[in-house]
Amino acid sequence: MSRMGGAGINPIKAGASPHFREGRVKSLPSFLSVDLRRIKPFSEVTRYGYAVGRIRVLEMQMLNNQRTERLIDADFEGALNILDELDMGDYLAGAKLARDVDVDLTAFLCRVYSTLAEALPRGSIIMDFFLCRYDFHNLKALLKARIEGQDAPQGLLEGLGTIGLEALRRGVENPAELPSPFKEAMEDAAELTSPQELDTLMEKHFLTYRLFLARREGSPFVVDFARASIDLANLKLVIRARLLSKEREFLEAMIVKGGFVPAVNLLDLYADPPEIMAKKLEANIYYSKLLEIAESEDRVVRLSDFDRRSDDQLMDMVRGMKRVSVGVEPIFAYLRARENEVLVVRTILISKLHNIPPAAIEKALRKLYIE
Amino acid sequence: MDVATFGGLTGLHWALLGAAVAVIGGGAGSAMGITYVANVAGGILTEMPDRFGPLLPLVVIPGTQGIYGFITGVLVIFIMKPGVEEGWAALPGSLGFQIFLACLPVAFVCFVSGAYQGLTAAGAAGMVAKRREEMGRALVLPALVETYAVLSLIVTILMFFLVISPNLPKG
Repeated sequence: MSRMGGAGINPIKAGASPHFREGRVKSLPSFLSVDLRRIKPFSEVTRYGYAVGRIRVLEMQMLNNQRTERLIDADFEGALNILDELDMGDYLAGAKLARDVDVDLTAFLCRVYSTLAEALPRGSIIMDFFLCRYDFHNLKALLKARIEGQDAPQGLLEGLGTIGLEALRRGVENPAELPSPFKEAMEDAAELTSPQELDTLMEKHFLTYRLFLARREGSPFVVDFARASIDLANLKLVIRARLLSKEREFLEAMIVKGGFVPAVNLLDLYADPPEIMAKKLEANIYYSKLLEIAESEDRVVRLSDFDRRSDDQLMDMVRGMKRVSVGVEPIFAYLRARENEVLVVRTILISKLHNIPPAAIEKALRKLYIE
Repeated sequence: MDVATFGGLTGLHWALLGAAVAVIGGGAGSAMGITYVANVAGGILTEMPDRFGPLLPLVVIPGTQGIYGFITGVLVIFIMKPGVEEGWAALPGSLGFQIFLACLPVAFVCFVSGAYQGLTAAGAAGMVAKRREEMGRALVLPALVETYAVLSLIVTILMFFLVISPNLPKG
């Protein structure tokens, strides 16, 4: 598969990319161009200084590559002993089943969020950025149960999220009780009968709301992250819609606006036959990078490993936030890294319980924030 | 033009304005810088109270700019007294303006460097939080910012000498 090489390409002309944003001085060479929005106002330092100080200490308790390698090589009990060296270990002590691991890790994640929430300045919406995911997840689970006629919804996450489960249950019966954007999501979902479409719709509302929160927070790094997440979700949606031979109207309704790749470009691509669509994606540096995420080793576009690869792509962006010493970015990076860490530990422990060999576990793991 | 005034202000006014600008610039820069690093240090100390010792020099270091501004203000007030017999009232307007100009390096450089030194120290505090033994290295980084505050103070003092030397008693 041909790739556009780096030399001789004007990335601004070649297409949108997080690294070549609109708003830069285009007449200057790239090494001289300065994005004034990235220069941090001093007020940010004062607002987030205390929380950054706390996470600088808490970061020492995070999983790194060496510990991960030890975890992979150890058995389940040994892995719990290794995790005992970290603050996570207190929560996992005594875990024996997959369900224990899930419950303990959820409790740990709750502690991570609550610790940081008390350190954040008033008016910061960074916690909402992370916690709204669980609200949408719970809302989706409740709606899915209603569509499928179940009495007990599956997979509800209690304790996480900004809205309590009882309030969400009441909101499902009477959407007017829910705050925005959950009320709008409920209204859009009212007509749906397919759980798959519900998944896609909730994802759309979740990503749109997260971009809104990122813009309100005002950090270009966080906005870039939210936009890149939208691009990855859109790409997955386009590929899945193509694989399932969905109508263009479905894509039009479900595609999320606000990413670096304009929605209209993706819709135009959808009209093309698969081989032309792939060629058009390859012809643009940013698209081709996204496409690479969906490709498997035999260079066929597959979605089986897409989530892991897109998380890795986003983690690369988060690692870029290490350059910022004080501000909302280190907090964002810490929270994202903690979520990722929980996912990695869960993958390892559940794999250990199912006797999956170390080589296979290693392949399934996401990139860590601390190398 | 009245030699006692320059630009409508007397020499005393210009000299006092210079002293005030130097003290305000240096003091404000230091206050900002200390606030930045103290915020981060506060967070670190919440989790690790035993890091107070290594963190203290980092919190204190942006305070030096305020001291340089203070030194400049004191130099203006106590040393710049040409024509002692006549006192401050006899300070010509042009000489007062020169004193004011001499105060500007400290006023501006200390304001900016104080704030940025605080930012650098805030980053360095993260190093100390993770590794106590890195304290020496962590202190070097904000100390580099200090260089320019020191240079501005030296230039200001040299300019003071330049201003007052024709007025020094001969022989």
